[in-house]
Amino acid sequence: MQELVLIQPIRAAEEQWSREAAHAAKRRDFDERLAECGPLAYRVARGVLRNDADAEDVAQEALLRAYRRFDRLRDTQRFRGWLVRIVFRLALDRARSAKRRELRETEWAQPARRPAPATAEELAASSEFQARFDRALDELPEKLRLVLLLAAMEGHTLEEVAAMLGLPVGTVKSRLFAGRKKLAEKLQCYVTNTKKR
Amino acid sequence: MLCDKYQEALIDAAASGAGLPVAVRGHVDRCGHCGAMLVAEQALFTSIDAGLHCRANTGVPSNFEHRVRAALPIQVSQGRRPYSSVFAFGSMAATAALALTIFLTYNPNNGRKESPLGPVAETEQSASPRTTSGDSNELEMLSQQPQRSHARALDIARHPNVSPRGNSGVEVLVPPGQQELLVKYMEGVAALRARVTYTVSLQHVADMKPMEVPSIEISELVVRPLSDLSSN
Repeated sequence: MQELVLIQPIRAAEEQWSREAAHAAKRRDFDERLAECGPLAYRVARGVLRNDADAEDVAQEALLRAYRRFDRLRDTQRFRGWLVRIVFRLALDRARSAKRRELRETEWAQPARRPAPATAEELAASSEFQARFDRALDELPEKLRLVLLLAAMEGHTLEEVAAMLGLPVGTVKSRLFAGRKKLAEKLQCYVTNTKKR
Repeated sequence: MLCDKYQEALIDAAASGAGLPVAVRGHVDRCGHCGAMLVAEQALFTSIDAGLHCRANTGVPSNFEHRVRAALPIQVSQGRRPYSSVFAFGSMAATAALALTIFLTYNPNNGRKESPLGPVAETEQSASPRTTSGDSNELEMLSQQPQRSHARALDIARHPNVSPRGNSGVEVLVPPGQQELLVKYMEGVAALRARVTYTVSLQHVADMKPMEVPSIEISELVVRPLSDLSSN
């Protein structure tokens, strides 16, 4: 007679089941958050990087990090705020490394895709202003840039931006005002040149 | 000079989108230069807002969510283990020490192959109840080898700076502060091992007989050409 008895502790099996159930629940919750906040993450990254592929990479990386820490980020508002901050930080890092790479390779990045203007004059004016605008926005301090981007997104009120960033509404307003004013200062020469022409 | 005084107020008014103060409004109504400047500033801020809107509201690729979902299982499998890095380091150190011990113990060039068990293992061996019936001896010996190793390693872990065989040689070097981790690890491994019970006995080995296969009989073999088959 051959007999092989393998006794596995019941507790271990129960722990495994409960782990699997918790993992499935976590995955379900995360899927909901992903559908809700995925576009936001992509847009923040795209706003900083001006490049679709890089924006996708950065947003994906941030979402995967969020998944790893999801136990602490179950609350929707907390999740959105954390996600926005981490996407912005990752996008800035990516932009800096891309800038360094550009300097090394002495190449200019392709401008972002925009709708084609109707006339040549419009094209010149549009691309010139857009290039200056992009540069001016990139040169803004980070805290002003993030507020400007979030406030410019459709469907975001100042209160929502404030809740997302964990700031008082007054601070968001003042940053928004300061950011737009700084942008205007940087683009003032463009207006002057246009007027002179 | 008078216009310079109002310049900042004009920019602020254009930036905030709020109405002008009464005094500034009166000046703008009278001064054509300041009126033109206000209009230009307002146009600039409109352009800025349009640029921001354009930059912040790009379309999201349709496959973005799928891409993230597809990356999730990979990320989970590559993710960090739940235990801390200290415990991981302790485990690695303990494993390395255990491997070194086993290697040195069972090394054929060691000159002690005839008595591979140390005093601690001998004690364990004599204390553990086991049957000594015929063919199962060798199997039991094989199945108990890891337990002996664990017993030795546990002892080594408890007394890492004491040689387990007196002066004969194996000394486990554990970094200061890691001895406790090593002991915990070995106790955990020993506890896990203790939960699994194997009972294996071979009784029918001697009774096995060769299987009898009846001879194959072919009653009738008919050979026909292929053309007959196709005509049918």
